[in-house]
Amino acid sequence: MVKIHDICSRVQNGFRARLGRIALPETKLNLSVARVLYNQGFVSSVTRGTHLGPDESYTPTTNLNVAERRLWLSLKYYQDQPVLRGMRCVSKPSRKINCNANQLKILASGQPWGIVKGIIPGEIMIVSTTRGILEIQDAVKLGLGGMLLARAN
Amino acid sequence: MSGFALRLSRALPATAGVRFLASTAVAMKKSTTFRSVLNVEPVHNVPDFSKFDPIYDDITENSSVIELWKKQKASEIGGDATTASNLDALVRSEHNVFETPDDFLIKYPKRPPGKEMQSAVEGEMFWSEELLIPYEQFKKLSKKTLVVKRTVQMTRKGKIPSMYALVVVGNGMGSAGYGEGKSAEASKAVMIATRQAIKHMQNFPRYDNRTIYHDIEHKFKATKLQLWARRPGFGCRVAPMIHEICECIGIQDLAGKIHGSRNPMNVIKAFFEALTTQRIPSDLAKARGLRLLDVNHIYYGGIKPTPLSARK
Repeated sequence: MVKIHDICSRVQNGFRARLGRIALPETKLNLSVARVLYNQGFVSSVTRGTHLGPDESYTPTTNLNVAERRLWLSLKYYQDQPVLRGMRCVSKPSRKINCNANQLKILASGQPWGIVKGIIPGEIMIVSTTRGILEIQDAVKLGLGGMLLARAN
Repeated sequence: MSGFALRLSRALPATAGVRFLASTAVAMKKSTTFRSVLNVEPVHNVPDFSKFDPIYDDITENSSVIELWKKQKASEIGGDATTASNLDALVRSEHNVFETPDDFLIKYPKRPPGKEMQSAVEGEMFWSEELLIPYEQFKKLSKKTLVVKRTVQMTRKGKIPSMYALVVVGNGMGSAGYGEGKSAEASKAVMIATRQAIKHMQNFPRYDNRTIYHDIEHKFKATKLQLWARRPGFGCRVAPMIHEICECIGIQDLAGKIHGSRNPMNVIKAFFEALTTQRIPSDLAKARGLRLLDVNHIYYGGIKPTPLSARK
């Protein structure tokens, strides 16, 4: 769970500092969340690379170079504004929030459920389901429930 | 029209090659580098810089030079009463200084001839052409004086009181603005504030022309605003100051809460700022490269808002 906080902070701070690209540690979770952000258009590319920069050509991650491996996300700005304004965690290590399919539907339609506020137009919620880490609308289409990881606006 | 330029014009007639003046003959013997420095290409058709050029020289700017020439002429001729009147003419003929004709300098009139600055006073409103809106539109604007305060400037001789007014002006169709004014009299302060408000009018985006696009949380100074978009027919259930502004803008459905400072001045400013932080779906779609559709309008048949005339 601490890993979600890491992604949220890095992405949010990267956008606020108006960076061109940011580096996340290369993990399964980071890759899945980065994929969701990419599909939703918050980030223009997701590339594997080292701590110095993205790879020019494919290099496999091995035990020897695993410490230097990173995921590089290139950030997007439109009309002098960052495309992503804020990214916050929903589940905390002290309180993890799980929803079933119906409850996800409520949240996806903008109504609050429990301590979670509904999403506003243009907001996405990242959910960890049995079929992987999905965006809330995709999870609702598949009729799945899961743990709410983060919300991005 | 420097001395060097004068020399240059006399020293280089329209012939090939470089000519040196007699005065520079000594310098020529001293160093050969001088020759290389003065190795200029022959110039043709050099203008006489001692004469005014009607295109390139501005007579109005060079009055000091003309005065100088007149003085020089006077010293040349000698203090003669008869020649003093000819001084101007002589200078003019020699240096090609011409009298500016009347139509040389275009006098741009401030207003078209026959039309003066239009203005009207109606109670506490003062309309003039500077506001750049027609009088009919000005009359239809809804004006609300929200804050009137008595401020005091303390000087060593005593207190100087003045009245401060904050006025919000809106057309009920998305445009509104606030203005602040100060004067010794309250009515005049309100007048100044109204004019400021009209000058600072801005168009605010509204969803369906009745509510905001999404929930907003905004902090301005010590005022924290929470605004929630609501269904049609809900009404503006917000603090009194914000309610007045909603009426001016044309927001019909809104819910809101003020946390922290509820200072009316700052609440008004906070609300105007908060409305500008809205993100319109079409802009979001362009930024993120997605196609956004309004589920409300397309799938649920579009909940049409009741027009203002049918309400109340």
